[in-house]
Amino acid sequence: MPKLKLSYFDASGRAEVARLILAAAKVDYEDHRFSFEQWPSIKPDTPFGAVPVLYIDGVPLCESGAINRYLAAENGMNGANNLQAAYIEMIGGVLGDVFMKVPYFEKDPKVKADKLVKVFRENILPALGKMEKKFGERGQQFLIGDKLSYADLAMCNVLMHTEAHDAKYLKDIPKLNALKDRVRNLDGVRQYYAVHLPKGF
Amino acid sequence: MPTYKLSYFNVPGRGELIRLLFSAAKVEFEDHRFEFSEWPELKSKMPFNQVPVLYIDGTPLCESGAIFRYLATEFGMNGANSLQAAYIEMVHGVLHDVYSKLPFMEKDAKVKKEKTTAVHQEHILPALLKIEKKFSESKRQYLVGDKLSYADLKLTNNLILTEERAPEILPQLPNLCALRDRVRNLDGVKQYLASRPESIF
Repeated sequence: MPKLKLSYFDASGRAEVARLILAAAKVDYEDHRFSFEQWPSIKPDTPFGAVPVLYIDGVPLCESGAINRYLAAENGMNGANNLQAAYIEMIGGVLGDVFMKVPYFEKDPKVKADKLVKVFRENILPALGKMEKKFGERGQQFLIGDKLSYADLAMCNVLMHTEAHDAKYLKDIPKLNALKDRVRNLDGVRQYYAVHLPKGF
Repeated sequence: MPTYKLSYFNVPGRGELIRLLFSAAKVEFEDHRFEFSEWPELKSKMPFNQVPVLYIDGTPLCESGAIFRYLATEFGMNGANSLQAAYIEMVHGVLHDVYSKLPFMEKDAKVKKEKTTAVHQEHILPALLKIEKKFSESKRQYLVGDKLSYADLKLTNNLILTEERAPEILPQLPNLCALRDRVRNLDGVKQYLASRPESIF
């Protein structure tokens, strides 16, 4: 088992799925979190001036997708075959596309609140609605295949933040919400959330 | 072998790496290209209102990353293990990050040319210099591992664009240019590059 260190801001952002994979797999790692003020001094030491970076026995790997898929594959959370891996990435990708429209850095609270309403109505809820329908039809415990994958962790992440932001958005996606609650209570994940509970947008 | 159909705009964009993978693997597929004017009607037919979509025996898979990583794995172009796959994804991700800053949609030709030069100087060249250094030190024939991967195809496509739009940076990247020339002349790739529609960028 290599020695792992994950370097990122003290926020969910693009590191959260990696942290959840490691939590669910109960793998020890250094969860290096730094502030925005520290970033200018850390940036020159990163391979391409960006985070997250995963150090595997000290050797850096960057790009969150590469990190997530590597950790998922190493820890049995990337599906049972290549096609399942593709559908897992598809779900992660769609969630990333719609939640990327959230105005995370908007400073004006009213502008931010209005934009969030719009993004949920036009982008997030339609996508989640489609996934809810397919997930309901499938009638399984996990989004893809028959075991936990990083798609379930990505879904748990966005829905935990959604719950913290405004729980009313969860009422029309009961099956996905139930999945979120199963995942948040998994051994490993539960302890992670006891320390780092999602705060919303 | 399943039947494949790719649906995407008649532009390179997020479809081109997929087309290059089929070409390099010499696997037949239906390259369904549509114009922007056809998009409003097609949009609602797509699983998540986006393209590219890959139909595998008629079943849709979306998200370009899911599609090209699925095909790359099927065609033996995703490294020999999950760590190599991670580095391949990292290189692809870095190239995507910097090349996607180009002003693809800019209508003013003069502004477009200035921005293209600036993006090459400020973002693309610094990233490529780092990759060139590592690549020349490795003395390998391919960017990651010892066989063609989708990172090599991505790099080749990007450097062909740079050849056309900012050739002045290329003398600093001799090993990457040599790789580009090896890949562009591969059987399958050569024929595709000769026959593909001219880029609008």
